[in-house]
Amino acid sequence: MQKTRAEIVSSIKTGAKTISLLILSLLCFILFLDVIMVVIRFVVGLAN
Amino acid sequence: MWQRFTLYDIRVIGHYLGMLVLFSALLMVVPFVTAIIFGEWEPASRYLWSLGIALLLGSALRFCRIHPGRLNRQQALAVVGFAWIVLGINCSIPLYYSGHYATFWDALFDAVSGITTTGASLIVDLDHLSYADNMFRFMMHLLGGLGVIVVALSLGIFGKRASSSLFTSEARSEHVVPNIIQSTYFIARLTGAFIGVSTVVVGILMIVVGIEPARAILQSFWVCVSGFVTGGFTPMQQSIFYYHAFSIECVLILLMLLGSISFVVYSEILRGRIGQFFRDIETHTALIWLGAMTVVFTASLATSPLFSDMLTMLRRGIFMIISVFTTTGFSVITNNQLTTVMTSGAFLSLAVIMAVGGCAGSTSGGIKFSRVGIIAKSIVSTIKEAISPDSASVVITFNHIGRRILSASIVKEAMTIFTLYVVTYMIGALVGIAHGYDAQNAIFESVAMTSNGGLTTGLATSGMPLSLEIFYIFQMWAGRLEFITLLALAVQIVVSVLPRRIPRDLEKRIRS
Repeated sequence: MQKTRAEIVSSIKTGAKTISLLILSLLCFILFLDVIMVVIRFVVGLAN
Repeated sequence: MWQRFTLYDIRVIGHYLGMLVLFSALLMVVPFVTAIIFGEWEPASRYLWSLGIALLLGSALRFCRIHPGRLNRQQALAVVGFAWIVLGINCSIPLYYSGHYATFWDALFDAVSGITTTGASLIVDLDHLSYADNMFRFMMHLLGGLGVIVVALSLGIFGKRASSSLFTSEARSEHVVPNIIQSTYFIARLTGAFIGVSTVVVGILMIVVGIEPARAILQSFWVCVSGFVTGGFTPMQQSIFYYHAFSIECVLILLMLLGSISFVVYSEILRGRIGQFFRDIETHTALIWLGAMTVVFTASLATSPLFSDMLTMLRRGIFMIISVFTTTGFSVITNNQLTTVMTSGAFLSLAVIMAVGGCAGSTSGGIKFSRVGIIAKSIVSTIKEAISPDSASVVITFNHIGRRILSASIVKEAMTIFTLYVVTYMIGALVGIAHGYDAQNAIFESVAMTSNGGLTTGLATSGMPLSLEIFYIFQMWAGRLEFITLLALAVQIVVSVLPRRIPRDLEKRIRS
């Protein structure tokens, strides 16, 4: 089945939007690991 | 009763194996063209005659049977199992004659490490390797990361006789879309898009850092291939540490993470169903598992002098955690720092993270989050059953591309693979210890080989004992194919070689 031009543009837009959202969530995940590291480093520092 | 290989099976397997060997000849065209472009005539002639050997061997194997039928599951397992050995041997020929390997076994180790996307290397003087040889190393990564069969199917090597057994035999149990060929197209297109975009970004960053443009483009392509397929080979001996560039490390962190996500989840995401990603059992397991392991890793690392200031710890620590969990094996610290400056607790934490690995259906290795998540769910189910009334029926569900019920067969599959991984990790560690190496390093190395992580402590190096080298080659191969293909193939070979046993009652009747 041939896709129309509008359908192709729409699917590219959807793909780009969701991939950007995915990259944003991966960056949030890295930030989450960073926060854990900072907190644990601080706690260990206090304990020592 | 165990199934034996018949002569017909062997001829069909030979035919398809021949097609894959011919296909590997295609792989050598890329370094050959690279050698021509950069005027590297010795590598050019080496790849030309290696290409000839592959064409001859492939054609000879294809003559085993001119018109093969459709592959059955038993034959498909054998084709995939043998293909990874034959391709390994075939790819090691041009590498060995490059003069950068002490023995042929070292070249075979690198070829297997390349196609299984392990990333450990026994190469000598990597920094002065020709562009063509480097290109070949990363082409092996690309082929192995996507899967030999996936690439062969997407290029139409098997024509219309493509069988789903071939696809599933290569540790890819999940179809992206119902059609196998369409699935392989999707995987190839997505990989091409990610590698293409990241090559441009990393290339620009490398030029900014001060690497000359041609070298920057080539090196960025290589590290991006290696990063997305979670391989671990790098064009420089010092791995990513060589570049000393935080911006490059950031892009590679993101690329490694993108490479560790299942292709099936990508197909859902591209259809606009991002919710599937957040609901998936693998995402939940990754978040809990990596959160917990980061706590252990940081608490242990906090006492190390190398990571005394916060920014260095964040930069190096996060990179190392992501590099090992995606089983890439890139490093921003030296081997010596990994084993001596890093605390033993942080060192072993990295090994445990690497043992579990990334998501199923992605390019990363290890046990996989989905299996760990399923086993955790199974434990919850057992506890629920224990405390619920006799008449109650406990139903546990999980999300992985739609809602699924946790059945006994799903748990059995996850437990079997989990156990096989753990047993192989243990045996590998014992083999290392038996060779006289430090237990801690032997455990780390065994995990790195089986999970195809490839981060080495310096134990896998040129001049290592041959028996250990062969065992590591076996571990890389077994880990990439997730054991079942390998075990099924080994059992079938043994059964086929053993003489037929006549049942006792039949024997008595013949004698009487």
